[in-house]
Amino acid sequence: MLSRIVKVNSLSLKVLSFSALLQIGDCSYADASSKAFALQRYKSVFDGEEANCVDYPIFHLPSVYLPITEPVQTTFKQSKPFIKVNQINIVGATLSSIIGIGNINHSSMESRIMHIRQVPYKQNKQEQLNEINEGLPAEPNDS
Amino acid sequence: MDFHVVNGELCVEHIEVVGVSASSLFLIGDAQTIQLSSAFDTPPESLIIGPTFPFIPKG
Repeated sequence: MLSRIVKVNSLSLKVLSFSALLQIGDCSYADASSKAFALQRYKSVFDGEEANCVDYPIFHLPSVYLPITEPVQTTFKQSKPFIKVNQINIVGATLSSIIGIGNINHSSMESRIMHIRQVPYKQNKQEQLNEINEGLPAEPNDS
Repeated sequence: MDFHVVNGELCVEHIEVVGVSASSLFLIGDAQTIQLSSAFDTPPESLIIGPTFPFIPKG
C-alpha cells in the first residue's frame, strides 16, 4: 500500500512520561502495553513499602484484541501524496502512549488500570457522605 | 466485498491536545491495522470505607 508523506511545521509537547513515545518517521510495528494500580486516598498519605506486589485478576487477563483479518478487499489511491499539518500542540503523553508523526503499519496498544479509593470511616452517616462526595459539585436543591 | 478509497488533499492548520494517556495512540499518517485493548477496573468493593491501611505490604 502506498503511504503518504506527513509534513508538520511545528510540534510542541510539554510532558512525555511513563514510557510514552514520540515517533517521528515511519515505523512498521508498534506494540505498547501499560499496567496501572491507582490508589486514591482521602488524605495523600502513602507508605513507600506498600503495594509492591499487587495481585489483581485484571493484570492477568489475556489480551483481547479484535482479529485483524476481515473478508474485505481494499484498494487505496492517493491523489495527493502529502498530509500537511501546520501546528500541533500537546500538553502531555503518558503511560505507554504513542504520538506518531509518520506512518505506523501495525500497532497494538493495551492498557490495564485498577482503581481503588480509600475513605476513612465516620460514625455520622451525613458526615460520611460529605467525605465521599467532597470535591464533587453540589447537587441542586429540589425544595 | 470491495472497498475502494481515494485519499484527496488533507491539510490541517492546528491540532490542540491536552492529554494522550494509557496506551492511547495519536497518529498523523497512514496505518494498516490498529488494535486496541483496554480494561479499567473500579468495582463497588474498590471503594473502601474504614481505617486507612497499607496495601499488601512487602513480604
